[in-house]
Amino acid sequence: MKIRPEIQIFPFKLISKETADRITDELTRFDFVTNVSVHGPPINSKENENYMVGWIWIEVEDNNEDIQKIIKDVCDEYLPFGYNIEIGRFTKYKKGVSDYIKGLN
Amino acid sequence: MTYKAQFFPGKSDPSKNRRKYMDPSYKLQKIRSVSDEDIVRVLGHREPGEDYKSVHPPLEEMGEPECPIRELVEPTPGAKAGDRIRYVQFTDSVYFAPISPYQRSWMYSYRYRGMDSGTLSGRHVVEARERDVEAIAKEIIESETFDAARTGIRGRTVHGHALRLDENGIMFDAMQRYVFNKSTGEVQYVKNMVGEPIPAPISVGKPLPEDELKKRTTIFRADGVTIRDDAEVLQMVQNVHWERSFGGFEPYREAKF
Repeated sequence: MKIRPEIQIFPFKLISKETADRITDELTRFDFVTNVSVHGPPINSKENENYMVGWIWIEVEDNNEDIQKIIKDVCDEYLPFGYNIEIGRFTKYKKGVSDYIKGLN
Repeated sequence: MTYKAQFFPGKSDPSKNRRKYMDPSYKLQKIRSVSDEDIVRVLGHREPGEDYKSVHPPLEEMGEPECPIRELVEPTPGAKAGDRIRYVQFTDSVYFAPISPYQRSWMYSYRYRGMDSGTLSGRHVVEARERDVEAIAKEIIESETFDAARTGIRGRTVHGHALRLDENGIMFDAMQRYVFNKSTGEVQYVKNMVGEPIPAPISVGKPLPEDELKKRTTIFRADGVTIRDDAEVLQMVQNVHWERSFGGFEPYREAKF
Protein backbone atom coordinates (compact mmCIF):
# COMPACT_ATOMS: atom_id res chain seq x y z
CA MET A 1 0.00 0.00 0.00
CA LYS A 2 1.29 3.41 -0.91
CA ILE A 3 1.29 5.82 2.01
CA ARG A 4 0.65 9.27 0.65
CA PRO A 5 2.27 12.25 2.38
CA GLU A 6 0.21 14.98 3.99
CA ILE A 7 0.79 18.70 4.20
CA GLN A 8 -0.39 20.30 7.42
CA ILE A 9 -1.45 23.92 7.46
CA PHE A 10 -1.47 25.55 10.88
CA PRO A 11 -3.02 29.03 10.64
CA PHE A 12 -1.96 31.53 13.32
CA LYS A 13 -5.62 32.31 13.97
CA LEU A 14 -8.61 29.99 14.29
CA ILE A 15 -10.47 30.30 11.02
CA SER A 16 -14.21 30.06 10.54
CA LYS A 17 -15.89 27.11 8.87
CA GLU A 18 -16.69 29.31 5.85
CA THR A 19 -13.06 30.28 5.24
CA ALA A 20 -11.99 26.67 5.66
CA ASP A 21 -14.63 25.57 3.15
CA ARG A 22 -13.32 28.09 0.63
CA ILE A 23 -9.75 26.82 1.05
CA THR A 24 -10.93 23.22 0.77
CA ASP A 25 -12.90 23.94 -2.41
CA GLU A 26 -9.91 25.68 -3.95
CA LEU A 27 -7.56 22.82 -3.08
CA THR A 28 -9.75 19.88 -4.13
CA ARG A 29 -9.76 21.28 -7.69
CA PHE A 30 -6.17 20.16 -8.15
CA ASP A 31 -5.54 16.62 -9.42
CA PHE A 32 -2.64 15.94 -7.08
CA VAL A 33 -4.80 16.49 -3.97
CA THR A 34 -6.43 13.22 -2.93
CA ASN A 35 -8.07 14.28 0.32
CA VAL A 36 -8.48 17.38 2.51
CA SER A 37 -9.50 17.10 6.15
CA VAL A 38 -9.95 19.84 8.74
CA HIS A 39 -9.89 19.78 12.50
CA GLY A 40 -10.62 22.29 15.27
CA PRO A 41 -12.50 23.03 18.47
CA PRO A 42 -16.29 22.52 18.31
CA ILE A 43 -18.88 25.22 18.94
CA ASN A 44 -22.03 24.18 20.80
CA SER A 45 -24.88 25.25 18.60
CA LYS A 46 -28.40 23.85 18.64
CA GLU A 47 -29.27 24.78 15.05
CA ASN A 48 -26.36 23.26 13.17
CA GLU A 49 -23.04 21.61 13.72
CA ASN A 50 -20.44 24.32 13.74
CA TYR A 51 -16.72 24.43 14.45
CA MET A 52 -13.66 26.57 14.14
CA VAL A 53 -10.74 25.26 12.14
CA GLY A 54 -7.22 25.13 13.52
CA TRP A 55 -5.60 22.45 11.35
CA ILE A 56 -5.94 21.58 7.66
CA TRP A 57 -4.42 18.32 6.41
CA ILE A 58 -3.97 17.98 2.66
CA GLU A 59 -3.20 14.50 1.40
CA VAL A 60 -1.21 14.71 -1.84
CA GLU A 61 -0.07 12.18 -4.42
CA ASP A 62 3.51 13.21 -4.19
CA ASN A 63 5.27 15.88 -2.21
CA ASN A 64 7.46 18.18 -4.26
CA GLU A 65 8.32 21.85 -4.38
CA ASP A 66 5.88 22.72 -7.18
CA ILE A 67 2.97 21.28 -5.21
CA GLN A 68 4.07 23.12 -2.07
CA LYS A 69 4.27 26.37 -4.01
CA ILE A 70 0.72 25.97 -5.33
CA ILE A 71 -0.59 25.23 -1.83
CA LYS A 72 1.33 28.19 -0.40
CA ASP A 73 -0.24 30.49 -3.00
CA VAL A 74 -3.73 29.38 -1.96
CA CYS A 75 -2.89 29.85 1.72
CA ASP A 76 -1.41 33.30 1.16
CA GLU A 77 -4.69 34.37 -0.38
CA TYR A 78 -6.97 33.15 2.42
CA LEU A 79 -4.70 33.33 5.47
CA PRO A 80 -3.20 36.84 5.50
CA PHE A 81 -2.36 36.60 9.24
CA GLY A 82 0.21 33.85 8.66
CA TYR A 83 0.49 30.07 8.93
CA ASN A 84 2.95 27.22 9.32
CA ILE A 85 3.41 24.40 6.83
CA GLU A 86 4.61 20.96 7.85
CA ILE A 87 5.04 17.79 5.87
CA GLY A 88 4.38 14.35 7.29
CA ARG A 89 1.48 12.05 8.01
CA PHE A 90 -1.11 13.43 10.43
CA THR A 91 -4.28 11.34 9.99
CA LYS A 92 -4.96 7.63 10.09
CA TYR A 93 -4.43 5.74 6.83
CA LYS A 94 -4.96 2.14 7.87
CA LYS A 95 -6.96 0.10 10.35
CA GLY A 96 -5.51 -0.06 13.87
CA VAL A 97 -5.94 -2.72 16.54
CA SER A 98 -8.79 -0.93 18.29
CA ASP A 99 -10.57 -0.42 14.95
CA TYR A 100 -10.20 -4.14 14.30
CA ILE A 101 -11.76 -4.97 17.69
CA LYS A 102 -14.65 -2.56 17.04
CA GLY A 103 -15.18 -4.19 13.65
CA LEU A 104 -14.62 -0.98 11.70
CA ASN A 105 -13.48 -1.06 8.11
CA MET B 1 6.37 52.58 61.94
CA THR B 2 4.47 53.66 58.89
CA TYR B 3 4.53 51.08 56.18
CA LYS B 4 3.87 51.93 52.56
CA ALA B 5 2.78 48.98 50.46
CA GLN B 6 4.85 48.49 47.34
CA PHE B 7 2.31 46.02 45.83
CA PHE B 8 4.62 44.73 43.11
CA PRO B 9 8.30 45.19 42.19
CA GLY B 10 9.71 46.16 38.83
CA LYS B 11 9.94 48.97 36.30
CA SER B 12 8.46 47.34 33.18
CA ASP B 13 4.97 48.09 31.83
CA PRO B 14 3.32 44.90 33.14
CA SER B 15 4.79 45.60 36.60
CA LYS B 16 3.48 49.15 36.57
CA ASN B 17 0.03 47.94 35.52
CA ARG B 18 -0.04 45.28 38.22
CA ARG B 19 0.87 47.90 40.82
CA LYS B 20 -1.79 50.22 39.50
CA TYR B 21 -4.60 47.68 39.57
CA MET B 22 -3.67 46.39 43.02
CA ASP B 23 -3.40 49.83 44.60
CA PRO B 24 -6.87 50.54 46.06
CA SER B 25 -6.23 54.29 45.97
CA TYR B 26 -5.97 54.16 42.15
CA LYS B 27 -9.39 54.60 40.57
CA LEU B 28 -9.88 52.19 37.66
CA GLN B 29 -10.31 54.07 34.40
CA LYS B 30 -13.83 53.80 33.01
CA ILE B 31 -13.76 53.03 29.29
CA ARG B 32 -17.34 51.96 28.55
CA SER B 33 -20.74 52.20 30.12
CA VAL B 34 -23.17 49.31 30.50
CA SER B 35 -26.55 49.83 32.18
CA ASP B 36 -27.47 48.10 35.46
CA GLU B 37 -30.22 46.20 33.65
CA ASP B 38 -27.77 44.81 31.08
CA ILE B 39 -25.40 43.68 33.83
CA VAL B 40 -28.28 41.79 35.48
CA ARG B 41 -29.15 40.19 32.15
CA VAL B 42 -25.57 39.11 31.44
CA LEU B 43 -25.20 37.60 34.91
CA GLY B 44 -28.56 35.84 34.62
CA HIS B 45 -29.08 35.32 38.36
CA ARG B 46 -32.40 37.18 38.37
CA GLU B 47 -34.72 39.02 35.99
CA PRO B 48 -34.17 42.80 35.80
CA GLY B 49 -36.51 44.50 38.29
CA GLU B 50 -37.08 41.31 40.22
CA ASP B 51 -36.57 41.37 43.99
CA TYR B 52 -33.40 39.96 45.47
CA LYS B 53 -34.05 36.55 47.03
CA SER B 54 -32.76 36.27 50.57
CA VAL B 55 -31.41 33.47 52.73
CA HIS B 56 -31.94 35.24 56.05
CA PRO B 57 -33.85 38.29 57.31
CA PRO B 58 -32.08 41.68 57.20
CA LEU B 59 -29.43 41.98 59.90
CA GLU B 60 -31.32 44.81 61.64
CA GLU B 61 -34.34 42.57 62.20
CA MET B 62 -32.29 39.59 63.24
CA GLY B 63 -31.02 40.99 66.54
CA GLU B 64 -27.35 40.12 66.43
CA PRO B 65 -25.49 38.96 69.54
CA GLU B 66 -23.11 41.37 71.21
CA CYS B 67 -19.76 41.02 69.53
CA PRO B 68 -16.87 43.50 69.23
CA ILE B 69 -16.01 42.25 65.75
CA ARG B 70 -19.54 42.83 64.49
CA GLU B 71 -19.32 46.38 65.81
CA LEU B 72 -15.98 46.93 64.14
CA VAL B 73 -16.84 45.55 60.70
CA GLU B 74 -19.48 47.31 58.68
CA PRO B 75 -21.51 44.68 56.74
CA THR B 76 -21.68 45.02 52.95
CA PRO B 77 -25.06 46.08 51.49
CA GLY B 78 -25.75 42.51 50.37
CA ALA B 79 -24.97 41.04 53.78
CA LYS B 80 -27.11 43.71 55.47
CA ALA B 81 -30.11 42.67 53.36
CA GLY B 82 -29.46 38.92 53.64
CA ASP B 83 -28.96 38.21 49.92
CA ARG B 84 -28.04 34.87 48.43
CA ILE B 85 -24.44 34.15 47.45
CA ARG B 86 -24.00 34.50 43.70
CA TYR B 87 -20.97 34.59 41.43
CA VAL B 88 -19.42 36.19 38.40
CA GLN B 89 -16.63 34.58 36.40
CA PHE B 90 -14.21 36.04 33.88
CA THR B 91 -11.94 34.30 31.41
CA ASP B 92 -8.77 36.10 30.33
CA SER B 93 -6.94 35.27 27.13
CA VAL B 94 -3.21 34.61 27.25
CA TYR B 95 -2.83 36.96 24.27
CA PHE B 96 -2.26 40.22 26.15
CA ALA B 97 -5.52 40.38 28.06
CA PRO B 98 -5.60 43.53 30.22
CA ILE B 99 -5.42 41.39 33.36
CA SER B 100 -4.93 37.73 34.19
CA PRO B 101 -6.70 35.54 36.77
CA TYR B 102 -3.93 35.65 39.36
CA GLN B 103 -3.77 39.43 39.36
CA ARG B 104 -7.56 39.55 39.52
CA SER B 105 -7.35 37.72 42.81
CA TRP B 106 -4.78 40.20 44.13
CA MET B 107 -6.75 43.15 42.83
CA TYR B 108 -10.08 42.02 44.27
CA SER B 109 -8.50 41.30 47.65
CA TYR B 110 -7.27 44.87 47.87
CA ARG B 111 -10.42 46.48 46.51
CA TYR B 112 -13.52 44.60 47.62
CA ARG B 113 -14.93 43.34 50.91
CA GLY B 114 -17.12 40.36 51.66
CA MET B 115 -16.11 38.34 48.62
CA ASP B 116 -14.47 35.00 48.01
CA SER B 117 -12.32 34.67 44.92
CA GLY B 118 -11.11 31.54 43.19
CA THR B 119 -8.22 31.54 40.74
CA LEU B 120 -7.79 28.94 38.02
CA SER B 121 -5.42 28.89 35.08
CA GLY B 122 -7.67 30.69 32.65
CA ARG B 123 -10.61 31.95 34.63
CA HIS B 124 -11.36 33.73 37.83
CA VAL B 125 -14.56 33.34 39.82
CA VAL B 126 -15.70 35.71 42.53
CA GLU B 127 -18.50 34.86 44.94
CA ALA B 128 -20.34 37.40 47.06
CA ARG B 129 -23.82 38.50 48.08
CA GLU B 130 -25.99 39.11 45.02
CA ARG B 131 -26.05 42.91 45.05
CA ASP B 132 -22.33 43.04 45.85
CA VAL B 133 -21.65 40.74 42.88
CA GLU B 134 -23.62 43.06 40.63
CA ALA B 135 -21.68 46.08 41.90
CA ILE B 136 -18.33 44.30 41.42
CA ALA B 137 -19.32 43.05 37.94
CA LYS B 138 -20.43 46.52 36.87
CA GLU B 139 -17.21 48.16 38.02
CA ILE B 140 -15.02 45.50 36.39
CA ILE B 141 -16.90 45.34 33.08
CA GLU B 142 -16.89 49.13 32.69
CA SER B 143 -13.24 49.51 33.66
CA GLU B 144 -9.94 49.23 31.79
CA THR B 145 -9.38 45.69 33.12
CA PHE B 146 -12.02 44.38 30.71
CA ASP B 147 -11.40 44.14 26.99
CA ALA B 148 -14.26 43.27 24.65
CA ALA B 149 -12.20 40.72 22.70
CA ARG B 150 -9.72 39.24 25.18
CA THR B 151 -11.93 38.99 28.27
CA GLY B 152 -15.07 36.89 28.49
CA ILE B 153 -17.89 36.75 31.04
CA ARG B 154 -18.42 33.00 31.30
CA GLY B 155 -20.30 31.02 33.89
CA ARG B 156 -19.63 27.65 32.31
CA THR B 157 -17.81 26.18 29.28
CA VAL B 158 -14.95 28.57 29.93
CA HIS B 159 -12.49 26.72 27.66
CA GLY B 160 -10.62 28.95 25.25
CA HIS B 161 -8.18 31.23 27.07
CA ALA B 162 -5.10 29.58 25.53
CA LEU B 163 -6.55 28.88 22.08
CA ARG B 164 -5.63 30.89 19.03
CA LEU B 165 -7.78 33.98 18.49
CA ASP B 166 -10.28 33.92 15.65
CA GLU B 167 -10.06 35.91 12.40
CA ASN B 168 -11.49 39.03 14.06
CA GLY B 169 -9.11 38.80 17.02
CA ILE B 170 -11.81 37.51 19.39
CA MET B 171 -11.08 34.85 22.03
CA PHE B 172 -12.61 31.45 21.25
CA ASP B 173 -15.93 30.74 22.96
CA ALA B 174 -17.54 27.34 22.45
CA MET B 175 -20.96 28.69 23.45
CA GLN B 176 -20.81 31.79 21.21
CA ARG B 177 -22.00 34.05 24.01
CA TYR B 178 -20.58 37.05 22.25
CA VAL B 179 -20.35 37.83 18.56
CA PHE B 180 -18.37 40.34 16.58
CA ASN B 181 -20.59 42.76 14.74
CA LYS B 182 -18.72 43.49 11.50
CA SER B 183 -20.81 46.54 10.55
CA THR B 184 -20.21 48.40 13.83
CA GLY B 185 -16.93 46.78 14.83
CA GLU B 186 -18.29 46.12 18.30
CA VAL B 187 -18.58 42.96 20.37
CA GLN B 188 -22.10 42.09 21.45
CA TYR B 189 -23.27 39.66 24.09
CA VAL B 190 -26.18 37.60 22.74
CA LYS B 191 -26.30 35.09 25.59
CA ASN B 192 -25.92 35.42 29.32
CA MET B 193 -23.06 34.04 31.42
CA VAL B 194 -24.33 30.44 31.30
CA GLY B 195 -25.34 30.46 27.64
CA GLU B 196 -29.06 31.26 27.77
CA PRO B 197 -30.28 33.68 25.09
CA ILE B 198 -31.06 37.25 26.16
CA PRO B 199 -33.77 39.44 24.58
CA ALA B 200 -31.54 42.11 23.02
CA PRO B 201 -27.81 42.10 22.26
CA ILE B 202 -25.66 43.98 24.77
CA SER B 203 -22.75 45.90 23.31
CA VAL B 204 -19.49 46.07 25.26
CA GLY B 205 -17.72 48.27 22.75
CA LYS B 206 -14.86 47.85 20.32
CA PRO B 207 -11.86 45.64 21.06
CA LEU B 208 -8.67 47.57 21.80
CA PRO B 209 -5.92 47.50 19.14
CA GLU B 210 -2.96 45.17 19.70
CA ASP B 211 -0.38 47.85 20.58
CA GLU B 212 -2.73 49.46 23.08
CA LEU B 213 -3.31 46.05 24.72
CA LYS B 214 0.44 45.48 24.96
CA LYS B 215 0.71 48.74 26.91
CA ARG B 216 -2.15 47.87 29.25
CA THR B 217 -1.42 44.21 29.90
CA THR B 218 -0.19 42.70 33.15
CA ILE B 219 1.10 39.58 31.38
CA PHE B 220 4.81 38.91 30.86
CA ARG B 221 5.17 37.13 27.51
CA ALA B 222 8.04 36.09 25.28
CA ASP B 223 6.63 38.14 22.40
CA GLY B 224 5.93 41.16 24.59
CA VAL B 225 7.88 42.11 27.71
CA THR B 226 9.55 39.00 29.12
CA ILE B 227 10.07 38.52 32.82
CA ARG B 228 13.83 38.47 32.13
CA ASP B 229 13.67 42.11 31.05
CA ASP B 230 12.75 43.06 34.59
CA ALA B 231 15.52 42.04 36.96
CA GLU B 232 13.65 43.02 40.10
CA VAL B 233 10.62 40.84 39.25
CA LEU B 234 12.86 37.91 38.35
CA GLN B 235 14.67 38.31 41.68
CA MET B 236 11.34 38.24 43.55
CA VAL B 237 10.16 35.13 41.69
CA GLN B 238 13.43 33.34 42.44
CA ASN B 239 13.20 34.41 46.06
CA VAL B 240 9.69 33.01 46.40
CA HIS B 241 10.71 29.83 44.63
CA TRP B 242 13.73 29.29 46.88
CA GLU B 243 11.81 29.96 50.05
CA ARG B 244 8.90 27.70 49.25
CA SER B 245 11.20 24.90 48.10
CA PHE B 246 13.80 24.97 50.84
CA GLY B 247 11.92 26.75 53.62
CA GLY B 248 10.38 23.56 54.91
CA PHE B 249 13.26 21.27 53.94
CA GLU B 250 16.49 22.80 55.21
CA PRO B 251 15.50 26.16 56.66
CA TYR B 252 18.97 26.82 58.10
CA ARG B 253 20.48 26.99 54.62
CA GLU B 254 21.14 30.36 53.10
CA ALA B 255 19.36 31.31 49.92
CA LYS B 256 21.55 31.07 46.85
CA PHE B 257 20.42 32.55 43.57
